[in-house]
Amino acid sequence: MDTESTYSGYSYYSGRSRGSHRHGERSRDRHKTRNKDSRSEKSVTINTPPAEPLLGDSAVRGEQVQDDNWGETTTAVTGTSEHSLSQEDIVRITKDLEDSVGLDCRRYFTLALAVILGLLVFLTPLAFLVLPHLLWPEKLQSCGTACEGLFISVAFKLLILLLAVWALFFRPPRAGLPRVFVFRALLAVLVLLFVVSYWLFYGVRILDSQDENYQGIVQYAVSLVDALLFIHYLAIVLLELRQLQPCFSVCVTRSTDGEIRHYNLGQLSIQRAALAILEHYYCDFPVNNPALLSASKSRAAKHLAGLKVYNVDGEFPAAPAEGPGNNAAAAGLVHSQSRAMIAAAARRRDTSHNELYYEEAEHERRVRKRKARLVVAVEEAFTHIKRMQEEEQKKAPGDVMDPREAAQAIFPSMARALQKYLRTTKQQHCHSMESIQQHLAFCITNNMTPKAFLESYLTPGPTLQYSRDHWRARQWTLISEASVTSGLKDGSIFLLKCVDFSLVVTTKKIPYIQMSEEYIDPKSHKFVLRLQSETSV
Amino acid sequence: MSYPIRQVTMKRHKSNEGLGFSIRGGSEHGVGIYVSLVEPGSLAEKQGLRIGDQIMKVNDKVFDKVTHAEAVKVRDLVRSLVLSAL
Repeated sequence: MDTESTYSGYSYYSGRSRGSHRHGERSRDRHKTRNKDSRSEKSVTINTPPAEPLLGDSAVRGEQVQDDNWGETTTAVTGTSEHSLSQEDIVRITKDLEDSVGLDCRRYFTLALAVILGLLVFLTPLAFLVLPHLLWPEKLQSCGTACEGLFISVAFKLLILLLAVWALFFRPPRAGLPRVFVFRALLAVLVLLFVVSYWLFYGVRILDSQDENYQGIVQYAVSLVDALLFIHYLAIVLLELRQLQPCFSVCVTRSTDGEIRHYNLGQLSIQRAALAILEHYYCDFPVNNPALLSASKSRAAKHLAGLKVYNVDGEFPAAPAEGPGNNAAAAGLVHSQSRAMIAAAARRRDTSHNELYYEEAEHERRVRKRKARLVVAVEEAFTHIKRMQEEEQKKAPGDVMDPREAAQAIFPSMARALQKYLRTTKQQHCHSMESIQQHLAFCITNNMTPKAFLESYLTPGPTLQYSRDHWRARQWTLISEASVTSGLKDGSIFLLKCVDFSLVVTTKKIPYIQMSEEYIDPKSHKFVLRLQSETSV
Repeated sequence: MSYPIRQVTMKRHKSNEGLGFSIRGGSEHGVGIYVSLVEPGSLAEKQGLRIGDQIMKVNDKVFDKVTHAEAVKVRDLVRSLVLSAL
């Protein structure tokens, strides 16, 4: 009845995280896989030209990849040959296979368990009804009208139970959670105990003594089905209804650029809350663009690199000094050094904030100029296309194009302006030429205006909007001090870490609201003109 | 017809004690300051102030063209008032 384990079909991505307990390896893997994702396509597709992440400028792309990884790679990423990359690919694939076998085992195990439990539950009432006929048919009293009426009731209740179980439990799994879903496990245990106790009773009191009262047996089977329906009601309340009422307000912050969103959640365990938050993340947060942070990183690097402390007077007091006097001197030396560094750093900051101001103003101007050029180019390009009406289609079959060809025809006139704009706003790696042409064909087919076509490039959209490359982070790690199956509490904090960034989640309880009423008689709204005020003296 | 002007002296024993009457009017309404209410058993009643009296002068300040708010303020500043009332 429960399939809470992993995603099917995406073992390529699932393998990446299995090494979560091997931290060192994982960080290495992370850097390698970044390079691989942009170059693995090159190594795999030998015959066809690779899908270019940029608009046709592979030299720049190579440099961008270097830029992104510049501050982070610990190992030197030289221009490795195709051979070494493919070997790494093979190693990674075999690791994926091993790990995916482990995952599949767990998933199939729980699936098998669920199927067995389901069969047990459905076949038990039927067994209760059929066994007396098989084992002691001659002693059995014949079934009267009331008894046969109960057959119909059993049949329909079983049908309803079947549909209800299918609706509640047989849904495709949304995610693989780290720990067992506590409520489902509890319900499964409850159902099992329940069915086992019914079987025990049946075995001892009915089978052993070969009871002839068939109507009693049928009523017993009906009571079993009724109780199963009630357990299903309990399952609905525990699994679906309980968390609907909002109880906590969670604040989700992305660690790289500080995007904040707030959501209302009900009473959930930490892992289910994390799942709900991630589903919202993919729809609400604009895509994570590491290129936008390169400016602040370079400023930070400048701050650190600029200051060096030289000790002109003598050697550092490395050994522990004798007596309090020497200790104070040593401490004083260290303090004064750090004070000098901080003072120098403070003075330095004054100039860099000026630079930031002018740089940002300049960037803003450049972006607006490029945007103006882009809008004009796109509007002009769209005027070259006209939708043909039905009658015209029959008349002039010569120059007729389908949307894809039409997009390819007008794309070159706007390609340059679009490419420049994307470069200025550092979004060029989010959109490949192929995806832009597809989007253009889509807009042409649906009679969209040039502005509608441009919107998806002017503002960064949610992560789901982009191609699959940007869904890289479907493997998340939940980091929490409290146990992940414990419930959300006021002030609980946990992290959702993926390869590029992490989401910090803090919880606050929604306060208890005490509302009181005040009745106003509609006739009590009376007014007078205030000509003169009267003051008592 | 002009009415005779009376002098009414009221001395307050405590500075937050009220004088016991209400005033209305003011230059913003185009009229003078008039007594609109006299509280029974109060200082004002004992001194013979009545509804309808117009306040002409308080402690040498002429209440000719004062606004309502200014008239009220004067009351706060003094401990003993000398009113001329019509």
